Amino acid sequence: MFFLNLGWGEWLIAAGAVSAFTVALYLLDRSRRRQVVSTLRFWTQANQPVQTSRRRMIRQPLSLLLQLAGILLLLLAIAQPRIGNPFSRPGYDVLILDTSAWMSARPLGGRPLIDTARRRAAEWLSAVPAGDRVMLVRADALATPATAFESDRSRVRAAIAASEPGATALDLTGAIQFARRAQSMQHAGGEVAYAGSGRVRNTQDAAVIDGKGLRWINVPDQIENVGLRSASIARSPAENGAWDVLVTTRNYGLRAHTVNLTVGFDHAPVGMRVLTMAPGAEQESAFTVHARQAGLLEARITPGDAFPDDDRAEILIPALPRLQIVVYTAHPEVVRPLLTANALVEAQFRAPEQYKGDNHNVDTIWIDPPAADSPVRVVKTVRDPQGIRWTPEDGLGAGLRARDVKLGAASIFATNPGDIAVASVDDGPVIVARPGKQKTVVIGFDPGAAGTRYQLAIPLVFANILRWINPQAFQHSGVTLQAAGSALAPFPDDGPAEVKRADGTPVPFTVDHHTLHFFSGSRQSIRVITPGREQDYALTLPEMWDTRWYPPVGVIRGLPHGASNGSDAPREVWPWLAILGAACLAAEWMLYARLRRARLKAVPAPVPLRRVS
Amino acid sequence: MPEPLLDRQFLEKLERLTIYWQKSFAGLVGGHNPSRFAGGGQEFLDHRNFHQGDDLRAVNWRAYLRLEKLFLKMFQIEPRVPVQVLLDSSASMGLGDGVKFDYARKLAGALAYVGLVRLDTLTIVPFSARLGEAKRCGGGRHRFSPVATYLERLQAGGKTDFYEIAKEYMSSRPQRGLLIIISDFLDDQGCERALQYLADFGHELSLIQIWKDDDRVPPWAGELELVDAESGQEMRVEFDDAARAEYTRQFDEYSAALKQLALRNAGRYVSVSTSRLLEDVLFDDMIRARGVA
Repeated sequence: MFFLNLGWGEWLIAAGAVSAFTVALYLLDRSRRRQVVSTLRFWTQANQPVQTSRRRMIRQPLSLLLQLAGILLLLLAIAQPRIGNPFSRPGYDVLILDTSAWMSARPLGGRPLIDTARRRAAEWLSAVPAGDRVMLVRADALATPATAFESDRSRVRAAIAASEPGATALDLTGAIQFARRAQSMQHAGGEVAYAGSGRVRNTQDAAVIDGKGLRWINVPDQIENVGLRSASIARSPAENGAWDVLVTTRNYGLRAHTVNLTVGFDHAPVGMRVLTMAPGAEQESAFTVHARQAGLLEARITPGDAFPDDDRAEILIPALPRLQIVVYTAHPEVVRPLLTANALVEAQFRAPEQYKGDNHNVDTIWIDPPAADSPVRVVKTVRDPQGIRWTPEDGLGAGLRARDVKLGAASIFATNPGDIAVASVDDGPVIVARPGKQKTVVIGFDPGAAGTRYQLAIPLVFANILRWINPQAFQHSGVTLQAAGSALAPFPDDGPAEVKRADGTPVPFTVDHHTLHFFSGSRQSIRVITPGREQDYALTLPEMWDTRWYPPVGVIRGLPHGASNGSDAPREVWPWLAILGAACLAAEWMLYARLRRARLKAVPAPVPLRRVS
Repeated sequence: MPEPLLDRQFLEKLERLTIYWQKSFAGLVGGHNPSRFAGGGQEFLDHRNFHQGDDLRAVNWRAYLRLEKLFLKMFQIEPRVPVQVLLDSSASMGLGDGVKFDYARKLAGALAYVGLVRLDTLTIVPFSARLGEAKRCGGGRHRFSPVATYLERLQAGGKTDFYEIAKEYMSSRPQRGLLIIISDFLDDQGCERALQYLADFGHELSLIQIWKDDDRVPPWAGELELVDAESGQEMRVEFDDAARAEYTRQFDEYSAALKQLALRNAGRYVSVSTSRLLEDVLFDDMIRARGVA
């Protein structure tokens, strides 16, 4: 036997001090007590004077012995004695349980792979030497310790039973490195056991895995699976109100499979492809969906297989933005081709005299307004104005540098505070933008005149005006459906970027070579907002494995055979000592303290006296 | 604000009680107890022959006119018996937390209120080694407030000497009456002889023994160094369960002797533990012992 907490000498000193203290308390408790009483009359009759020699006699020696025994046993329990060889240090084992998304696959007619993994992990745990401490690590894309190094097997078993498949693929290298680091911090040997099917991500460098001290508890998974890998949706550049849908599928099995890929929008079929896929092949299928309103796009692979999580995916397509404007002009035929060329713009052309009777709840563009009806006051009208210049404010003058524009005749406007003079000549502003709830842009010349008709600056001015009126309508947007885990987003320009979840909480990200990297360990939607671009990433597909891990030389396979049950490991005896000590103290209390109190409480009733007269 | 000696609700309950005594005391008039003695009362008792010196106002002149002999009418008196409460204020009563003395003061106050309600005249006399300053009260319930104040100001202390108290009491207060003694009667010298003197003197004794549970069954065990609260005398004993039983037996025997003394002299005895409610004692033990009715 040896002590874990105290040495023999320390224990003897502590035991001696505590025993002496207990005996002193005991003698003090039973020593003579001074008591003031109402009368000595009955005491004299009831007692004999005490002999001084009896003062130091130990009365109730069994009580003292029980107290001493109880205290010494408790002290022994605190010293944490162990029976066995003190030099046999316990092993620190790490159990890596595969909780990747693949572990939710169900072999035909069977239970999920995670059930097999949990069962085999529990079997390994039962075979581990009793003195060893075991840490459970749940491994998918991240290695997450579920327990510390525990000697209590029930806690590890409970953690194994509570393990569920995640949404990402297995990073086995990272998990094993994590386990080795945890072991090295204990400065003790031990085993790293991995329970899983060995399906890992492609980014793994399996060569760095050292097989020494590593055990693989295989979970067989001969499963054929064809699944969706990703899908992307973007506005069709060729067709107004259309979305281009690109769906990628993969055959993860060892045999060729023919499957039907069906795409539907709001429960209405959009298209179907029959895909014949070779083992390991990946195939892209393009669809076009016409939808101006928001709706749910569904991609489905039939028939289903043993891993249904990647057979179906849904993406929410946002509504197409529209820019509604009213153009007041006396010559609508001049700008009609320009504005109707863009499908996002819905322009109404009205005569300037109709302005007063209109309901002004939309943005307006005025072209060469009459001085009486102009929303921006016309100061004067000039002919052949000179010195045109552009104000690059709020993007309205972006890209405009032409100075040789011949305006012919132009209205000069009087601006209010807050108005933006987009273009000015020597006499004053000729194009004014007025911000507000309803934005107004006034152009003081006829763009169809001879001097401006063929100027490149004119369509550019209109493009800038439309973008200024509603910048969101021209923002690049799209939805990408892909697997949980690491995700990449293009980040072409420097500028502020924002990555957030659906509830608005930010997601950490890094930027490397014009690419934005972020990670999601669970299935959720993430929005990436970069200058001029907004992209939704629906990371709702399970992240699938890319390759199978083949264990290097030196890896032990299967469960340990004929494992020791810890006969050589030191055994803890402190719980028994603590129970025994508590029992001694309880017995002393029951036999002496409690009964003494009970005797004192049992006050006899006064003797009823007979009346004599 | 200090708690009053007795609360109002309790006092209202006491109003239906009456201090009771059995004896008739000569020379006293008034009160509500009928008497065998003739006197100047309202109820006719008898006739007797006139003797020289008798009050001519009591002569039955109708009988004289008819018989030509002087007869004197005798009336039954309604004595106003002096009720005296001797309250033990010795150190043994105030021992420890003073629970015995508090209880005794409350009991004395309750009896005083009962007497005041019935228009009796009471005198409360504290005592330890000597008689203390007495408080006389009478005239109705509205006179109770000074009595309560008086009792609240009393302090316990001193050594009890019942023999000396009896002598002093008999010499200073010759008028016989009901004598209620509230005490623990724990006098090392014994109080039986002094109480017998008081009874022989003509008082009707009503003994109320107040005791704590500790007084009857000491809770201690082992080697004890005992100090008498009044005399300061010390004593060392080895106290165990057998000794405790013997102690309790001695205490009970002493109480029985006190009771026998009281009953033998046509008095009353009530044993009161401080663990009992005062209301229970008054409305149960005292009524059963005919101390009150």
